[in-house]
Amino acid sequence: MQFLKRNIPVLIAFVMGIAMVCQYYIPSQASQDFGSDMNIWTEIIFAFALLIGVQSLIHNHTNKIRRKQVGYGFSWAVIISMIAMTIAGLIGGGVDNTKGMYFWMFQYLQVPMQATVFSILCFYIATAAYRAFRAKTPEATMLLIAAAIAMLGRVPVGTELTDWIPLGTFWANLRMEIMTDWLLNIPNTAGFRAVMFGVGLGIISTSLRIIFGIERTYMGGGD
Amino acid sequence: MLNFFSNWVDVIGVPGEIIGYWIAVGLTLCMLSFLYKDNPFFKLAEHLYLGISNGYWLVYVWQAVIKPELLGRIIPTYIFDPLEQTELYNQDANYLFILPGLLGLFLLLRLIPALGWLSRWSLAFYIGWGAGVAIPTYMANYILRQATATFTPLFGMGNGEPYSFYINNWLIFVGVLSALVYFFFSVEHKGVVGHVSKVGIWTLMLAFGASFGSTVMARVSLFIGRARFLIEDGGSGTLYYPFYIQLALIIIMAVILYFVGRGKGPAKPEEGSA
Repeated sequence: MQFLKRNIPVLIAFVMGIAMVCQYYIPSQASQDFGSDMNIWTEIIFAFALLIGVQSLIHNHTNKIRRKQVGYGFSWAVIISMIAMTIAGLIGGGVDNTKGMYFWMFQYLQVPMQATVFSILCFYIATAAYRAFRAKTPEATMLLIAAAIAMLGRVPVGTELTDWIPLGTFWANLRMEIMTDWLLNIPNTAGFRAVMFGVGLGIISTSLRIIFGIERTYMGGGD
Repeated sequence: MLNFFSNWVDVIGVPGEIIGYWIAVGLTLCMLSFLYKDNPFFKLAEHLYLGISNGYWLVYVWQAVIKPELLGRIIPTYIFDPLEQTELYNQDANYLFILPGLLGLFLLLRLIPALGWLSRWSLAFYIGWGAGVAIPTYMANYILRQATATFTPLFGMGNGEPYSFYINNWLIFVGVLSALVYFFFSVEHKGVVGHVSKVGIWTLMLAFGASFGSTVMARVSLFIGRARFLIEDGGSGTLYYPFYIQLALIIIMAVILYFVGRGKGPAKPEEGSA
């Protein structure tokens, strides 16, 4: 039993990992077909994983309703809206049917709420900026100046500040929009390229650990 | 009944669009009310968003993955329409696709403690696939291509390119190397290494500053988008919800919040808590 519970998963991960690495380097139609089939297989497994998430959500909110916990009325909103959206989609057609109820709910309920949630981040990032942009050290001052230029270079009022510097001369490099482009193309590229090297090496080493069975945390605890 | 769901817009006519915009405006205001503080209007919108998003993904996964990619490949003649999806209807059944279906079902067995261990097989398959795909992809895109781009071209002035081109390439080259030295913690950052890593910190500070500034502006533009949706008419071309009505909505919400919150003082610590 231990073999089925602990060794078979490691073997599956090893076989899949090696197969996908080989698939990448074999330039044949059969290899390409195998790769795209495996992509679909993982999509199917991912779809089932979503069901677990939905089950967890329903379980959590039905418990709240059953126990009449504080704010259990909002749990009804979750359950009812989820059922309504699902029925509308399954019976009336998906996003392709622009005349259906599903599309209508997507357009007038989901999209505005989602966009507003993300737009609220504007206030939180402004607070974070206030805390981060304090010129206490030379390095922090560099961060502040780079951020200030990047922000000013993207709005009309910022570019207006240096609009008087004539284009085509050496001093044009001091125009706000040109400095912004330079910051994003040169130091930004250099800094993030170094970070990307680290990220790449980290992901490759973690992947190797998974394939060779050193990293097994995905199996969870227990037997 | 089917017509009701599939032709909803036609069934309710133009008022459906107006009602839709009003709901969108109401929910937008509910979400924005969180800027004041957590309140029942925000909670309602938040929970509605949760439910609707889940419903959206359930339907999406059924229509884009389970139906065409799983059932459609195993029993195409039962899934696809012979007239509208002739090519898919006539494809041969591929019984190999029963395997991912089984692995998916194994994943659901997490809900049964005695059989939960079977879900490890599905997870192992998924994680192993991800690891196998990641190694060559990241090696190519995050290591080799970035290294190639860092080293070319550093020399060759007088070949028609302006001097600034080579100066910028050198700046990138020095910036990447110094930032890498900064991340190299196996050597103590003293002497030459310390000076080089200092340059690395400056590069990173400029990079993070520029990136953070751009992110701030991106978020501000998102908020401007929502503000324009409220102040104008959501881009519909017709003013369905004049601004003074929104103002009235906000005042009503504020009054309700005042009465709901009245008498509720600051939260007192529970008895017995530290």
